[in-house]
Amino acid sequence: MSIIERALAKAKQQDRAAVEDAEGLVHRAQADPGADVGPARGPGDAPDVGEGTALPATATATAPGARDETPRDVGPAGEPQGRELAPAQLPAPRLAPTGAEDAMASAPAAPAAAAARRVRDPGAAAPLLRVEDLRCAFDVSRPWLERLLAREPRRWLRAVDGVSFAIPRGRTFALVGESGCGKSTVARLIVGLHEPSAGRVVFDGRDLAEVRGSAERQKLRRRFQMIFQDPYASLNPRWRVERIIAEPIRVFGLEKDDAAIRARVAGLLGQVGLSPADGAKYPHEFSGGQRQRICIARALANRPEFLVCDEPTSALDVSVQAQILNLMRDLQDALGLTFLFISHDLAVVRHMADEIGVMYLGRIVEIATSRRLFERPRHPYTRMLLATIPDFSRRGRADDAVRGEVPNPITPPTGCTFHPRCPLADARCRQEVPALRELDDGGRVACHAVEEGRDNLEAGS
Amino acid sequence: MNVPHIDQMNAGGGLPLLSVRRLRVEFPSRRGTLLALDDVSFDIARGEVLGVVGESGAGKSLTGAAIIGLLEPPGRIAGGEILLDGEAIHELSGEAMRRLRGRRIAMIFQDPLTSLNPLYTVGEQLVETMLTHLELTPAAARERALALLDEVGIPAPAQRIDHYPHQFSGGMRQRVVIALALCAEPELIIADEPTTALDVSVQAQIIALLRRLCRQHHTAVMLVTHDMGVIAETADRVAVMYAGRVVEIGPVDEVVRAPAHPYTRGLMGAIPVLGDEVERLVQIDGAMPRLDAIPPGCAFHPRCAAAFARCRIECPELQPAGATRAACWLYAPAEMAEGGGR
Repeated sequence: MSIIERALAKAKQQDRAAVEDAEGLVHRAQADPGADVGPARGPGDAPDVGEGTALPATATATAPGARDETPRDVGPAGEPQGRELAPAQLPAPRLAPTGAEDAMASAPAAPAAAAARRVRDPGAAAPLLRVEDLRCAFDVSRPWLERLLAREPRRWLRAVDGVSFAIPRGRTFALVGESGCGKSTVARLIVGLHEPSAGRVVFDGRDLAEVRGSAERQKLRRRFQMIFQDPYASLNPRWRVERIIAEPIRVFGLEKDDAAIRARVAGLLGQVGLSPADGAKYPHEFSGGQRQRICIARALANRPEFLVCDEPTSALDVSVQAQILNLMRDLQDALGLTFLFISHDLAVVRHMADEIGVMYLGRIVEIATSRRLFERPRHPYTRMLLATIPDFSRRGRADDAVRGEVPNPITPPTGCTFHPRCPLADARCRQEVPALRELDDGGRVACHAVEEGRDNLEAGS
Repeated sequence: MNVPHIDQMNAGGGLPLLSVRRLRVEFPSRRGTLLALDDVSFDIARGEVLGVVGESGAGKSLTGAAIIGLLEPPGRIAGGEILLDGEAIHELSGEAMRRLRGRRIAMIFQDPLTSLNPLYTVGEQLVETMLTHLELTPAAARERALALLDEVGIPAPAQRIDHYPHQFSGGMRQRVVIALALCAEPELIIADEPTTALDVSVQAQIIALLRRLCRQHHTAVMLVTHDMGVIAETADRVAVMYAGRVVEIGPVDEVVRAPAHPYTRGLMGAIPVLGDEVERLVQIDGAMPRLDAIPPGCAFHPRCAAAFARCRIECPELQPAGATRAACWLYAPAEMAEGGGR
């Protein structure tokens, strides 16, 4: 491992940061697919990982195993069949890839679909996106010379540490957790803004890391998009709105002439509740909620099937948040979109998601359907999070329901990382990392106490 | 001119601790004067927690800044009065105001990192504040600082007192800021979004702490936040602001459970609630008007489903509406027949 190789890796990292800093970042990333999910899991990086103090051998060891197994279950429901299957199960007509403008225009009014939405059986649809044992470690070591002088090893921050979940087509899966739990990193790994250290992201049966060739990758990329938290930072202030929204259409070459592009932009603006005349304005002329609508219109411009929404309403006021959440659900019903929804706000997640994964320090500690999670939370951390939700009918909760703070992710606690804050922790929790185990109700929990049946807190609360 | 409304529903009897009457704050600009606060009136009793809630730009933070005399120029108080214990504090000189700040009125800001000096240990900052406002020896001040840090729940205060702000986590920093606010035993604390920058689990702890301490020290709090949940758990009464005016004020339970003003009703309906699954949230279409484009009459009328002719012309005053008071023509006594039918 030479200095030059490290310098190159660092330069690459800086490039990526520069791309992210620039606005319109998803599109830019798509315009230049070679720059992000590059085939960079090369030999140069692997020793780096091994050298790190933190990353365990299992990180690299489990990945090949998973790789052997998955193609088998992917096989039958692979690319062509998966795409055939889905529309039959969806109440709303999914937009064909060569989409029709009339379907777009009818977007906001789909009450029948809305009614049917909640009735769908959870296990029915094939997963559109599957994430398997995803890991991402960031190098947080001090600069090379300083480290050499202080005889310090490299230090790694394991932002995402073995995350697995699947999202069926047309559903919303939410990741919820406090700051620093790795939920946004998962989003960025999925859209390719970061490179996973290990694990796989399988979109519609295809492993994103194995898609070679920019044409192939671009074809796959066209099918997903991202909405960011800050609508002020994610729109180019020097571009008119119509140019912002048209960018993905141009990048992917979806329309041939300018008139068609203009018509499509106008349709998109109407779809998100803005007027086609707004296309001639600049982002600063809009309020926060309207800007988030522009972001949504841009995200929908290339007719994606899958949207990653990273805290889409956190920067907005409550009444505007309600508008955006309603809009997102209308669009999902009309276009059959699949959402990965990331938020720290449990009430919003409850409103939006079909299934929820609770994250703590880079791991998923509990996965359950939205209803089960809120009615019967199992993991002590989930229970603690639920206890923090202000209840309008109940005043003056106990001071000790919630305790402690999220520890430093660079030096996480041993064993179950939640044990210092957990009322149920015992010696085993301090040593052994709990695995995510399936419960009889279909949910999954990573907790020794739940597994051993010593989690009877509910009686008291 | 008639006597300004006094809020009769304060918790304690007698003279309110803080009384804000018909406060107007304006910002002169090249294109004319912007009226940022218009006729804001409310009282806070001793030991009472008043929540001030509203969306961004409603003027809630500005109200706090005006009370403590920290309006950013060219903003200025153009009318009305602010009385602390019957004494007009909006006319005080800079020096007199400085003596009052920190001593009788303290402030807690949103971001704990920017309200602590990174170059001094937290102990030095606490001691300095106490020596400025109280007659204490440095040794006694340090002892008191230790006791305060312990009281706000900082573990091992004897070691932590000599640490710098960057050595504390976000939640711990906000605890230090609360200790700093309490150290001169102020009568009123203005807390401007004290938990917005914190994680949910830490937020719950800070809210509980603030509520407990203020009860123990009998300190009144003006809690400014956009989060109705925080208000519901902490405040005794709540004032809802919209476009620079108080549109509804009353006991928190009434405002949360049976809001009178259409805006408050929309605001409550827009919050996703855990208990019941709703297909759609109530949404108030449009957005709050900008300061330079506040519509005539009631500022909320373009977004209001219940608006009628009078709303477009005349601006309503706060009037009794059930258990709360709302600035809405629906509750005008003479207009009951007209408005009540809607």
